[in-house]
Amino acid sequence: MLDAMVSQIGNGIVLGAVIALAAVGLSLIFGVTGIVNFAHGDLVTLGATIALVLSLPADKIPGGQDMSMWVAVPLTILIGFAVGALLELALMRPLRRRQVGMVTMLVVTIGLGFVIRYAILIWIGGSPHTYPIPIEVQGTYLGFIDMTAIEFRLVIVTLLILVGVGLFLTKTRLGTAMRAISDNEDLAESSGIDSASVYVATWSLGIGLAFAGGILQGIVTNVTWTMGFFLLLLMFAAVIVGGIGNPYGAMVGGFVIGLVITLSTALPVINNHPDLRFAVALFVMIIVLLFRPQGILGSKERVS
Amino acid sequence: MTDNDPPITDSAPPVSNAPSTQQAIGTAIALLALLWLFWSSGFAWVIILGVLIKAAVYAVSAMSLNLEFGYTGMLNFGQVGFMLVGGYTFALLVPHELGRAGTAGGSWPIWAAVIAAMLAGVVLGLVLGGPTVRLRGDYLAIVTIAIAEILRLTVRSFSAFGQSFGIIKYTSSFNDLMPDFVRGWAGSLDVPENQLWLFIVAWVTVLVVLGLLSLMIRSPWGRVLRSIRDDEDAVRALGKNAFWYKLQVLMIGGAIAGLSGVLFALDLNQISPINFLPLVTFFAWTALILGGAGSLVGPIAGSVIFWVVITQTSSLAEDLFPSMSSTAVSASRFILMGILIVLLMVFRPEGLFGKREELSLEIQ
Repeated sequence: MLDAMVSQIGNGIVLGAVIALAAVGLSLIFGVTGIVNFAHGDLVTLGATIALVLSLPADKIPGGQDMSMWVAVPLTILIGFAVGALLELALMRPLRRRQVGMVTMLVVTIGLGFVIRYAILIWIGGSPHTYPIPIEVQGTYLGFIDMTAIEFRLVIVTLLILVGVGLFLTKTRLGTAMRAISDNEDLAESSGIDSASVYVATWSLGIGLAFAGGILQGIVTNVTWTMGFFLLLLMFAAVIVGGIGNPYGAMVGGFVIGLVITLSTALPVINNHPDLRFAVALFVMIIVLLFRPQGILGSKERVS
Repeated sequence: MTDNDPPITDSAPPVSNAPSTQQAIGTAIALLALLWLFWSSGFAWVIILGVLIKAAVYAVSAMSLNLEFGYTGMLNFGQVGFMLVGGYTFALLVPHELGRAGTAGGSWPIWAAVIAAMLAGVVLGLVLGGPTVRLRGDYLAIVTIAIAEILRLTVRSFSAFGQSFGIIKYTSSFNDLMPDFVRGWAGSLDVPENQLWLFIVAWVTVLVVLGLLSLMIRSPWGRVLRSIRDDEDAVRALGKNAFWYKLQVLMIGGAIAGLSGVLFALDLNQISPINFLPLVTFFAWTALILGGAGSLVGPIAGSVIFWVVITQTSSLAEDLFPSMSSTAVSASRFILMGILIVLLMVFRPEGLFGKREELSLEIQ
């Protein structure tokens, strides 16, 4: 059983990287704007899809641009920043002006998720797609982590992105403003922070990271129209396990959930019923919510 | 079937249109939807009954959400999990065939199986609610959706539930109960007997649940629920145990959802995990929001309109855009539904029949 677990560590780290990237945005948006973004999963899919359309030739996908992945990926993430800002400016800000409640916001994101998901279905169809990247065999890194060379490099890049986000939040004025609004919006505003522009930046960064998570998941598995919706609950699990409203918590939670999912396949019962590995992750989330609702890194007062 | 109770809080009088005008408009829109169904199906009763059975199933499910959200302010996003335990309990207890091998099993009489299905919903409400009702609304939403997924993954994994093959041939004991007059009517309407029988039972269920909910909501108990929705702290200050009331609501809501799961299973003829995706929950929510949370008839009207729109727009799209693929046609219905949800929540969160000042839109 232990050997089977060790052999899954690589997969767990890769899945954890995907969840962590996507969940940081979810957590940031929740912390700063208070919105539980149920469309986040479908925005992950949108990122993967846009990179797909940019990188594949037109005979493989409608509207394909046949760009190099080196161009397509950064371009997609830039589009993600723009999509995030657009969502805040064109949808969330007008809603906030109308003083709609948080339940309304939540249901609106569900509706938005539907629109994005099924638009993607019409666009790329129901079958899985892969990026124009050669398939590689697995190697062993650091003595016990099995993954392919590209996965290893992507995990390193993800860690660098996450460290970058962490530095951004602690070292820059905008990042500090985001954390200040997360803690106490009234206090933040009274000390001269313009929350409206911080909201735009938060959505922008959050969706950019979601797009990056989508591309990563698309590279290590494939791109399907439901991939992000499927990841949504795992992202929630990461956010809750790590600590709600704390972006570092989402990073830690992402890797914890990724490892829980893949390592649990070595457990008895679950090794015969692989679907249950996701149930285990959700169960861990519920247990954390019940017994340590502030999560691994969260602060206590936010929960009930 | 009106909901003219004076609100118990000293809230402001209705801002825009008076409830009576609003209800007239709502009723008119529901009737228009029915007319569209009749016209668009070419008066084919098989299609009409098929749509209205679905509408009845989701009406019962949405009425349960209405008790939880509309009257008590709780966000249950795992409704499909309640329908799953109801449907599976029922199908496993009555005579059926299970899984890939089609193993025969089940010997319970149908009335006992229906009661067991509702009790399964009660138990799920208790198990789910006990630890989670104290959580804030959005956390409850995430936990409920997660539990529904855990249930779906569980029945998909174990052969005791038929894995991905599910359960088949469990409807015969229900169809055996059919009275003779139904056969006669089915002949004259040119529809299958079983379909007409399910249609009748489903809509009688809708009316019975409506009657019971109406009694509950108008009782002192119902007034406590609405005060919890409007100001839980005030209810606590008055010495009421808000936690226990919310738990009761989840249990009663669970029983109703379990019942809707039975109807869901009877309509599908065979159930497997793929029928219990989170999408089902969102359908029921759309019906509720469309009709109006916190209104008794809202979920019923909302469900009818929702199913007419969802089923008949695809035939409209096929007529208008014959070159569209069937995937695109069915996907465009969901895009339409998503846009409908957004527009409703933004411009008319109270739906067709609800009252805006009674709506609980802040997460507590």
